[in-house]
Amino acid sequence: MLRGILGILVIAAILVPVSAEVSLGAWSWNTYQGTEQWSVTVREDQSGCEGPVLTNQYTVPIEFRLATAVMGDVGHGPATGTFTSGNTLHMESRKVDDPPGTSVLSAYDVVFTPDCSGFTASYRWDYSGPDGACSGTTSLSGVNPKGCPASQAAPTVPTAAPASGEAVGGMIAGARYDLDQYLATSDQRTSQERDIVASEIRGQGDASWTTQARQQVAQETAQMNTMGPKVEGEYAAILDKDPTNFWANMDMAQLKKSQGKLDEYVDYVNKALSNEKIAEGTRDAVKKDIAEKNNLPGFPTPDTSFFIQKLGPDVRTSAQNVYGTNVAKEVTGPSVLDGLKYLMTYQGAKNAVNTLVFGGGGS
Amino acid sequence: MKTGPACARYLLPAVLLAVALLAVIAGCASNSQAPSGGPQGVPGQDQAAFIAAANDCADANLTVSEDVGTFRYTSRQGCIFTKTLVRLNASESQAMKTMLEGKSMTCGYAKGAFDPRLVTSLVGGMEYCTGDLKDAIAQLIVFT
Repeated sequence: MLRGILGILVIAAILVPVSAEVSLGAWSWNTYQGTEQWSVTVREDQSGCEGPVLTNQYTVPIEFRLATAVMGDVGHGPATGTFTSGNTLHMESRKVDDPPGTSVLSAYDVVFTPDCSGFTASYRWDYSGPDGACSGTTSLSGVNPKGCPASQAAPTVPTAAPASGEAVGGMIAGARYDLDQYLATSDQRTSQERDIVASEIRGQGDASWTTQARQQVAQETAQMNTMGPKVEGEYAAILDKDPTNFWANMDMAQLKKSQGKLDEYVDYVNKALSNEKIAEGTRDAVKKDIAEKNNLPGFPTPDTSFFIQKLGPDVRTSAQNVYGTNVAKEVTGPSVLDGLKYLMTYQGAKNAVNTLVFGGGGS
Repeated sequence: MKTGPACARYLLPAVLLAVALLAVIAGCASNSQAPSGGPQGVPGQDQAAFIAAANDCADANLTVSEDVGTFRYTSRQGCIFTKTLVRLNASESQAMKTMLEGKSMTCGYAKGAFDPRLVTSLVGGMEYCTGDLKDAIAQLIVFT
C-alpha cells in the first residue's frame, strides 16, 4: 500500500537571497521566482484504513513561478498549484496511483505564514482498490529557517554543494522516494509469489490466474532490476560524501535486505548504529512513536511487562538464525541499540522505513 | 430365543466404551489443550506432537497456556501454520492486551521443514510469517 507514500507530499521553495530591504509583512510568494528546500513534517492518519497515524519528516523542493508553483512530489509526480492570494497556494483535486488501487486527493490550500517561515496544509484522500475502499487525512507543516527571499534576483541554482547536512538531507529525500517505490514493488512481488505458491500447494491453481500472476511477478522483477541499481547509486553517492550518515546506511540496509543480501544488510545496519548519537535518538523517537500509536501509557519494560521480559532474550537468540543469517553477529554499536536493529530486521521492508521517525538526513 | 437379556447385559458397557473411545479420539485428532508448554525453546509433549503434525502438513490444533499468555497454534494441509495470541498474562496492562490479544500471524513452509521455534519461542521463525501479530511483536522489539 502506498498510502504512506501518499502522505509524503513534499514541499519546497527556492529562496533567492538578496540584499534589498523588503518588509516581511509585504512579502507575497506569488511575486517570486525560484526554489528552496523546506523541512516538512507529514502526518498521515490511516486509522480509517485500519492503519496507524504516521508522522515523518522530509526535506523537499518547491519551484515558485510567480502565479503558480510546482510542489516537489514524493510519490505521484509534481503537483502544480495556483496562488489564489499572495500567500495561499491552491492545489486542485487529483487522482493518483496507489497500488493496488488509486486514491483521490481532495483540493486543498497551502497557506504560507507572512514571515515566510512556514506553511500548513491539510487534505483528505479516498482510496479504492481491489482490497477495499477507505479514507484518511494528511496534514503538512513546512518550516523554512531562511525566511523571506528579498526580491527576484537571479534564481539560485543548487550546485554540487559540499557534504553539508542540508545538502545530504536533500539527497536523502530524493533517494528515499525511489527506495519507497522499490520496496513497495518488492513487497507486492513477495505477496504475489506467496499467493502463487499457496495456490499451487493447495492444488487450487487456476491456470490462467497463475499465468497472469507470474507475468506480473516478472514485470515487477524487471522493474526492480531497473530501480535497484538506481537507488543503490543514489545512496552510494550520499555515503561517498558522508560515510557514517545514519539514514543513508539504514536505508541502504533496507535495500539490501529486500534483495536478500543479509550479510550486507547487517553491515549497513551496524554502520548506522555506529553513529551512536543519531541511533540512540532515533531509537528513542521510534519508541515514543510506537508507544503513542498503540496508546501505551508508557514504554513497556521488563519490569512492567512480562511479555517484554520474555521477548528480550527470545529475540536475541532468534536473531542468530534470521533467514539463515546471524543478524546478531559483529555488533558494532552498543547493545542497547539492538532493539532498533531487530526492529529493522523483523518488520516488513517498507514498514520498517516508514515506521522510523526520520531525522532529516543529517548525520 | 433369549437374545434380549444377553444383549441388554452387554449393550450398556459397549455404549459406554464407545463413548469413551470417541472422546479420546476426538481429543487427540482435533483440539489439544495443554496447561503449559515446556521450558522456553524446549517443546513439551503436546508441543512435540503438534510440531510433528505441522511438519507433515497435517491438520492439527494446539492451545498452550504459558506464563507469557495463551497461544493457539493451527496447522493446515498445504503447509499453512497460524499462531494466535489468545490471551496475555493477566498482569499485563490493558494497552498491551489491546495491542496483542486476538492477533495472529500466518506462515507458509515446505513439507518437512516446519520451524519448531514458531511453537517454542515468541519470535523465532516469524520472518517467514505475515500478520498483525508479527507486526505488533516487531514493534515491541524496540523496547527490549
